[in-house]
Amino acid sequence: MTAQVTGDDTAHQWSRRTVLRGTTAVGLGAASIGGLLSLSACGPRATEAGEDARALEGALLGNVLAKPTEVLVDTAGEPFDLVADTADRLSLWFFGFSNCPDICPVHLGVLAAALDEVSGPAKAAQVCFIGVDTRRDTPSRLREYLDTFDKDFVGLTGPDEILERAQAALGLPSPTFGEPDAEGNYTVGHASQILAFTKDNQCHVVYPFGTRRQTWLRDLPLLATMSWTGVPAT
Amino acid sequence: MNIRRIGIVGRAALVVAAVGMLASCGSDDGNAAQSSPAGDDITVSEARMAVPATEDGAIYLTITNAGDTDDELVGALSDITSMMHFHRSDIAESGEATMPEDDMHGGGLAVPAGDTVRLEPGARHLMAMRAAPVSVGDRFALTLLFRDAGQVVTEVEVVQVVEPS
Repeated sequence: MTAQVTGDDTAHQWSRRTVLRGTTAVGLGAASIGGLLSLSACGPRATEAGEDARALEGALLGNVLAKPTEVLVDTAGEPFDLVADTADRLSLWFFGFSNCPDICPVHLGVLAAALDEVSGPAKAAQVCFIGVDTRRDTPSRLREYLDTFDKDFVGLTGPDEILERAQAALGLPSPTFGEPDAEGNYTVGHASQILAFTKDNQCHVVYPFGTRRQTWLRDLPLLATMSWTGVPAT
Repeated sequence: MNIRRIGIVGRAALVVAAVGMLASCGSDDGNAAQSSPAGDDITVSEARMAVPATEDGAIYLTITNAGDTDDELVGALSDITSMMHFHRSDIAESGEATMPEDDMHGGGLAVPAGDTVRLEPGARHLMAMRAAPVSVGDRFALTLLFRDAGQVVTEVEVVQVVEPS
């Protein structure tokens, strides 16, 4: 059962159904359980963190992720260090594109609605939307797009090779670009999960597309405060 | 039931054909919004669109076919766009979200007898290309054209957030 969640390349093998529909989908449900088991079997860990982790509805990763040591550009055109500028806080990362009309706006909209509703430390969560469609995801376009959801959302982009390195370091699939149609529009394939980096500067849990507001409302306060003590880094 | 796969040219033709059909209905009986009698078996509900963050706006809705014959959604029209597309998002096991090229603009969506078909985030949906500006709380008419049932008119509510199913 745990064979599916033992390698780096399977760290992100989570479909939205894994989390959202629990074990109703047999195959995916098994993967979810496997992920939880593999995490709880990672040697000694504080009971407190373990219980918090089990309370989360997000998809726990079998392999904890570190932040890539890359510098991007924010929507003000200023350098943004993925390590230093997100340090020691709850920072939620989503790699998408600003012409995305279905996946990104639904995912961002639901998260924004949840952040409006939460109180306490979770309210200060940082949301970083990284535009991977560098031809169209200019800083100003990213700002315009994100303002639809929340003016505090951080928009980031950068040279293709840096974005590719960052995504590869996080085990995310590389973006794919469709053929332009007669009007020059094209589709972009991109990772749809939101990565939650917690105060320990690591990502233990991701939120697949389809995550509902109730899940965020449950998990954001936990993510903002939990220590993950005893959860080994990779 | 086959999903028709049409290219860019065919896509434009679909829209033009649908517009032509509506226009002729309107000029004939002066009531383009009226459903055909067969349309009673088809009901459309929960039609909603989030305020678009792009120039295109996704419309999600639920179609129920209470009849005993299969039908097919073949067109959609609204005043908010001159170009309504069928799109499909797909999410792979890796988490990669794509819009598959093979049938993203397919011309027909099967609505089997006795079945309910949902157009929802991350799956099949309608996309109002270059949609006119809308605000939360706005409502606009959407005419769906079914192969057998003909036109079914529903009202789309503009909301702040569309929750995934």
